[in-house]
Amino acid sequence: MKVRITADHGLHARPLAAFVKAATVPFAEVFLKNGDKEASAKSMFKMLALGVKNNDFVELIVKPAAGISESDPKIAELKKNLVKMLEEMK
Amino acid sequence: MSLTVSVRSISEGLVMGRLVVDSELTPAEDKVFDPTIEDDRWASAHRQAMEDIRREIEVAEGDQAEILEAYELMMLDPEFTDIVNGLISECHSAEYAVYVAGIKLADMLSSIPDDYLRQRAADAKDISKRILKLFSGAGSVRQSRDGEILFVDELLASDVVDLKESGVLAVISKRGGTASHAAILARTHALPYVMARTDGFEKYSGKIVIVDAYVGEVIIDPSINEQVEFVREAESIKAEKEALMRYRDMVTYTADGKRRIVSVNISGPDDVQWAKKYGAEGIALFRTEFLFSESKEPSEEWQYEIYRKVLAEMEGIVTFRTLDIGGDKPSQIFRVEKEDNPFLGVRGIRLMKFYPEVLKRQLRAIVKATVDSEKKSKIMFPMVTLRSDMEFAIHMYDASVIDLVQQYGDKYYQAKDRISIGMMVEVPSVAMNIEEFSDLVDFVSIGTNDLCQYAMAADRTNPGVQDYYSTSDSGFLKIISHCVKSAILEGLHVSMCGNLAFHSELIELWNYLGIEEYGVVATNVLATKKALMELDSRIPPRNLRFVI
Repeated sequence: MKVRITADHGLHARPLAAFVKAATVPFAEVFLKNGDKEASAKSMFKMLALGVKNNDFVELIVKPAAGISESDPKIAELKKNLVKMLEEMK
Repeated sequence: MSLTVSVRSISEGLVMGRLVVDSELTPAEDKVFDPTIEDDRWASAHRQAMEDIRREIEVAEGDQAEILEAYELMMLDPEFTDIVNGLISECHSAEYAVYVAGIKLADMLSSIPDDYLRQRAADAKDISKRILKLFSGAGSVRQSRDGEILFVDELLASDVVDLKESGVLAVISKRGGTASHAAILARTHALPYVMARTDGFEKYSGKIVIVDAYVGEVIIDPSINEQVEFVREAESIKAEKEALMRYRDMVTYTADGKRRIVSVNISGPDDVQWAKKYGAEGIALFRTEFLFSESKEPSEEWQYEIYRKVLAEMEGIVTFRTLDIGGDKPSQIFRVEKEDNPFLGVRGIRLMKFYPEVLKRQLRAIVKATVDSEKKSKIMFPMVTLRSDMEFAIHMYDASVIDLVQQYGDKYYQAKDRISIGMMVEVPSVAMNIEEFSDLVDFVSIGTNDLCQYAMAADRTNPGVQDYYSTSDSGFLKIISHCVKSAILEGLHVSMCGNLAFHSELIELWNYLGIEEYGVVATNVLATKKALMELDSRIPPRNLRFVI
């Protein structure tokens, strides 16, 4: 799922802090991809190093943990929340 | 003999004190026999640093709280802790491991092409420094630093509040930028801060220096005369701030009796309180795009309520600029293809041609709010380039009035007498060809920020071309001068909104040319009023030669 980043300064530390907290869950692992670079949402540094600027598109990847199905409502809810956070970042 | 060095001002102020060079804590590369001891020391310092930061978050507010929360996560980041653990397992000391982890992550972030994100490299060093202080015990002692002007390699965000509270008067750094977290906090906490791209300061340690972050100058070892001048200047700045308040309720007339209007630029109804606090005489620019920042277009009724509120609260005339989206102001409501040059792309009125119904709903809300409030207002359209842009805008405006008349009655014909129509002048070809538009508008408003970047071919958000974004360039000033003169000859009113409207050296020229309304930030209203009231429009300004 691709999301356009409208935050003035792209994905920088302050908006990312809230994103890391929301993306750190026991039932899935979250990644962001910008072009061919990918970063785990557990790492602020890795995500900053993606160098996502205003108007760039990032891909949100949510990998369910072992034993959790892709169709689990928790996964859908997580994706929805994270997309919303990315879209609304300032 | 004194020496004056030009510096880049990041947080303004004027102070005099003793220069102290802050030597950085740099642990040497070393080997230890027992990594388990280092492991325990690292774990204990890390735990202590986490506790400290959480305590700070509890009492912090605004920008500072957000920055500390980001730091908390960086300290827990596996990228950081893995490097430290790896080096300790290779028998390095805990200090060295933490120091290297900070440097490695800072290097990683320094390679990002984007300037704003690159400035986050300082954050990596900052978290490492926070932990290093705990190994030495230095973090727990706050010494008094009254009267010091600190020279550092790089100012770190964590240090700003401590430095201010310990009595440091100003900071000079070798590296950094206006958008760093440290810069944001220095401005918030009124700590004067300048950046000097030179290594030379170390040798002046202990000398008296004057930091003038208003003009971007550091005077090293000032003479007695320069020190006396400093005291006089500092006192006059203080007195000037107090004295300006008497202009608050004055109506602005120049010394030769010309009416001038000092207005503010606002982004929403909350800003009106600042306009009133500083005695603004109107609103020169209501940036309505900020009402469209959510993912859905706001309803016409909601817009109407907001516009009506602003009209009711503001005594002077309110100028509504219709949606200016695109360029550096993207929106989630409109689908715009990714552009290589968004500043030269589909923005302002160009975008509205693709979304005429959105523009019409906004115009209906403005017209209805104005007529219902029984007030006068102005509407202006952004990024007008062709005559057909303005024809389209007027067509939409007329259609909105007719809609309202058909829906609610003849009362809305009053719009004709209550609302003036104008356009922003941001494109150089428009500035040079006002005659082409003069039968379509009542006024023009010069948007100096965009006009400058288009005239000088320099992106105003790109620090790499800051020297080219020159607002004092005589070619650029000639464009403005031509625009104002031809607009006045065509019988149009002229206003200016942008950083240049309040410019101590140019305001004399603007007034002489005949600009009537000045849109400035609220905190500059009083100084702008004062400057205009002291001017005599009959006397040619000193810088007139640049525009002839």
